[in-house]
Amino acid sequence: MPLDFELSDEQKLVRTAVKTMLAKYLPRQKEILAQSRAEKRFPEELWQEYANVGLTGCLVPEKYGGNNMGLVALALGFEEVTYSGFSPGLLLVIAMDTACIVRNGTEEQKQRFLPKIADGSWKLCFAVTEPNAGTNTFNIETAAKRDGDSYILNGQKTFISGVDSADYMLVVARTTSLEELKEQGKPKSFGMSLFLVDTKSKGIEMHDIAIPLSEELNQFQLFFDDLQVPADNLVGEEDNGIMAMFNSLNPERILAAAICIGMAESALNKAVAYAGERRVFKDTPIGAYQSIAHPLAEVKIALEAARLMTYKAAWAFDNGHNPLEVGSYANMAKFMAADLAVKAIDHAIETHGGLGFTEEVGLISQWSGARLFKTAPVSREMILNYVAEQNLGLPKSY
Amino acid sequence: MHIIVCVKQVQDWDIPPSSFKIDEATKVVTPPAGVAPVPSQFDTIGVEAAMRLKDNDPDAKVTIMSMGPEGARDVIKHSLAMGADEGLLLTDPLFEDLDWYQVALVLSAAVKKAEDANLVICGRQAVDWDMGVSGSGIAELLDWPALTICKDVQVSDGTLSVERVLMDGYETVEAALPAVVTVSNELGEPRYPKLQQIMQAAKKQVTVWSAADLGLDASQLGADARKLTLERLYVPVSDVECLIMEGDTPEEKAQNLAKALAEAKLI
Repeated sequence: MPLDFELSDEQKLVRTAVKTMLAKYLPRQKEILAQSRAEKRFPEELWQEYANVGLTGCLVPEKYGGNNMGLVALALGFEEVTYSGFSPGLLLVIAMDTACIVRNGTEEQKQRFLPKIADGSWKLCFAVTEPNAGTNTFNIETAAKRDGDSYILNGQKTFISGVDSADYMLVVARTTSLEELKEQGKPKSFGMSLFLVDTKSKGIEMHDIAIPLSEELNQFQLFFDDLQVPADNLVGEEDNGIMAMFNSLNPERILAAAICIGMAESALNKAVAYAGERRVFKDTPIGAYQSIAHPLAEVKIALEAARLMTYKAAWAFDNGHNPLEVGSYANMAKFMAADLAVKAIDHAIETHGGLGFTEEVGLISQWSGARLFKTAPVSREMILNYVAEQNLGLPKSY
Repeated sequence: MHIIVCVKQVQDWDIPPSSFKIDEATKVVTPPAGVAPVPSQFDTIGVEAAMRLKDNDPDAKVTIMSMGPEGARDVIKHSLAMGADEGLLLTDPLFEDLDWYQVALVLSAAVKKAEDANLVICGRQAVDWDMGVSGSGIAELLDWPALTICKDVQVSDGTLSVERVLMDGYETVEAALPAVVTVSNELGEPRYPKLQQIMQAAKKQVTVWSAADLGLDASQLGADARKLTLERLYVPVSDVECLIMEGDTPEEKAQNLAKALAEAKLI
């Protein structure tokens, strides 16, 4: 059977649909971005448009009100959103939660959450990172202890995006502590569980973390103090949350890659347009000079490669491949795309010269957003460790 | 009511102009590789006009018609995802290099073949060649009234009522169906296809007609039958000169601007 790199007719239409949806906001884009920056809140009007066009329903089966177009389609939508200079806002973290509920949730949880996610009326965020467990998730210390029909959560989380806008958050906690695991001789990957937590519950304290990059998605440190969560909100099996978590983390990396691809393509097109028109010496456009053209050509090559890797990762996810295999592709895609985005914007700035630093051209403000993705949601160094260990079979260094 | 909306597949107008290659010798424009074509902007507004009519008359049938290569199916799918009922792809090697008259000939032949069609909607012009003649051409060949550059289209009891955009306002014009309407951007933003509708559009029928299906052949569609000769195709060189209006007050600057424009015979 031949290898087919063609997107389906329906997938091809996704970018057009999102582009058409965003078109009416483009004339007001600066005003919208300035307002969301000032209010530190993603514009609700735009959020409703994202839901209306179907971006919140891509991972939701039709029987729960979604369009079930899948992660490839959602990645295409993300590309167009960031290509157009907008932010996906909470869409990324919601996709993480949605994937986890669809693949690991109970029927009751699916009926309760998925229709509201699909129609945009409920927003969700994801809480895994802790002060002592950043790149090493297995070190999380937030504890969840069963108490009758509930679990009681205690601990803290940090760098939790958008919890101020979210109705629920998917919290990763330890139902078996690291000490207990040691005594039982079980691996650190065991003992983690996932809970859907109502963000308005008693026992949650939120502290804003000032990060100028996250203009539309605020970051928070959270403290859980005897936070009571109904046992019905446990997603997947108690203690066996690791694979369920992969079902969240893989879409996160894939969609982060898609964000970077959209930003890179936008920067490249700006650079190409300028290089084709700008004349400094006589009548030759600066794009004719190899010092300008070759870096942009390199960006184009990297863009095509990162896009292929991202689609492959999303395709593997949609087709239910083993989460560890999808994890490899997802990490590789995120690695390539994050490096690409920074490189593309940097070369676009260089192509524009002094203009590249102006607000009007808008590249310098994109640079910081792109740079974030070299570090988050997983650093490039940890991806290299993952690939060395998982894909090359090399010994673990840490 | 059966509405046929003509939708043309064009190159994405967001692509930097410098990425297009123009061969002056062969008079051929080559777009950059790998960029997906899109529906012409005004034609999508035509689909919106049709969908508004269908919103008021759910029994109305909306058919999207596009002439072009197999890839034109994409723009049909886009319009079907906006809510249209059926697609009609006119594709044939003979359709590859037509002038405006031949385009109108093919499109009007398809409207005739559709038999029950009684309203044709086109964009005021395609965003690639900007000629703006297809709608009027179809009307002429069908001997139907043409109501051009409309910002509002209504149908009531078989009577078409439109608001036409004029230089200094608009006029309301009525006509009995069948008729051809061209629409302008003043009609308003087209609705966007939702992903759910994209999935539903995948199941909608797209009929394919060739030149032979329309009763047309090379004697009407070949190079010898062209009525338009393309004399020259080139990238215009624009020399921009910036002139700062002097003056001590805004009024004086405005007077100087008016004088300069008058001297340049621009007003």
